[in-house]
Amino acid sequence: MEIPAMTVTECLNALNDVLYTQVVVVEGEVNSYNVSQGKWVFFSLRDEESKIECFAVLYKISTPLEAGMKVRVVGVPGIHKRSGKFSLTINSLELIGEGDLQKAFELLKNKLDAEGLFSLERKRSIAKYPKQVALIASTTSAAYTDFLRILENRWSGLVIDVLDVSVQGEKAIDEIEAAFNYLNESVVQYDAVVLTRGGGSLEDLHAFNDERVARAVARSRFPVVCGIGHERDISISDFVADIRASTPSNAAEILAPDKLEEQKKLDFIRQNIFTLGQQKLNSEQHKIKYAIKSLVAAADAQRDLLFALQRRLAMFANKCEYEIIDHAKSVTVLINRVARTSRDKLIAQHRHLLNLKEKLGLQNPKQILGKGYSIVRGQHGVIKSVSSVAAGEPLQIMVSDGNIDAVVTD
Amino acid sequence: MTKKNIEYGDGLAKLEKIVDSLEDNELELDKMVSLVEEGLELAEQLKKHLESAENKVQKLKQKYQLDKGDANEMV
Repeated sequence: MEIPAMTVTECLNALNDVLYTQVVVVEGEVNSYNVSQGKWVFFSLRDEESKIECFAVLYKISTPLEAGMKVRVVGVPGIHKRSGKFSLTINSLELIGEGDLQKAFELLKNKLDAEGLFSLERKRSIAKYPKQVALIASTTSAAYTDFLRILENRWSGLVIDVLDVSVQGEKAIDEIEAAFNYLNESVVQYDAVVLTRGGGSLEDLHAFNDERVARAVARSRFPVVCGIGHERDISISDFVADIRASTPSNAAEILAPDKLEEQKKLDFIRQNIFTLGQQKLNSEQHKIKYAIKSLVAAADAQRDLLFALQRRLAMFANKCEYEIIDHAKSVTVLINRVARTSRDKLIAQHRHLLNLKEKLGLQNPKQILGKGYSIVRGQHGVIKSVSSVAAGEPLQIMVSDGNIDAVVTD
Repeated sequence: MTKKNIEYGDGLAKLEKIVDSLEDNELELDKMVSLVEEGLELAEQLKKHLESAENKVQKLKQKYQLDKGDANEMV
């Protein structure tokens, strides 16, 4: 029986049809590791005798590799038609060599550190009193119950949205990454995202040392608190997270304040308010007392001023009285003097008058007539000379007690 | 702010503001008395809130699994 001939393409198609149905798991040592265009990974697996070429999309091989690492790969064999080379297309890969996980850990750590994903400038703080948080954890894990228990003891009124994920095994990386993507799209504004799981070996914690999970943590819209494993375990996710908690319980302690402490604080504030109120009242009382004291002092001062005025007035009045008395005395003296002077003058005048009178009396014709003298009047008046009369002229002779008519005879 | 939906953080911030106001020496007596009353009442409310409120845990399982399925499909 003749075997029908095929073209090269038909031949490779026929072979690939068979090969593609085969899923193989192969263990070997990585050699010639190369990443092309940031998308494709090429390396070869070898043992002491043989070598097989491997190909993968970078997305599926997030474990950093270097030559000499021992790995277990799951892949599908096939022949690349253009080059005719046989290769395995890798679907998943895990490190199996002793120390290789640690080596991969260091490689990824150095890579992300160089990118600045661990820098302090990227770290965000969380609200002191968070209201709503997202929790990415396995709900069947001890870490989950520990976290919620501690949170319940510490704080109240918090809303916790739980995203149940595998934290170990094949699905872990996909689920954790998807959980972060889901939260980034959420309409809820979370105060923090908590990523947590309990302790385990480096293999157990592998997902948290995976580049995709680390980048998902870095991309998170909300601050991430990472509490992975025990105190001594530090994962790559811890380095990228905004806050690293040493354990799941510690994550709860970091996330929420202690309500007992808060209650103490509230008691202190209440006491403080009371004391401040009391102080203010005391201060007001003091002000009132001071005001009263000031008023009393002002009244006293006014009274003293009045007393002083009174005293001055009294002194002034006394002085006035003395002055009035002095003046009165002076006036009396003056009056007396005036009176005395007037009287003396009156007496003197009286005397003068008497003298005058006396003198006048001496000149009085009648008084003179009384002494025997007489006044002779002619026709032309008082006769003072003989020549002033003529014979036969009638005369009138006035004596002290009457007139005598006569005639000049010669 | 009612007693039921009191936010502890907001309430505490308000309380601290009241204490700051009370420390102001220029505060009038009437205002002081009302602030003391308000502050003591708010502190009591916050304390009761801490004593009585519980954390609410809600699982986003269904919604999240749907998303998770989408994510897996993408892979």
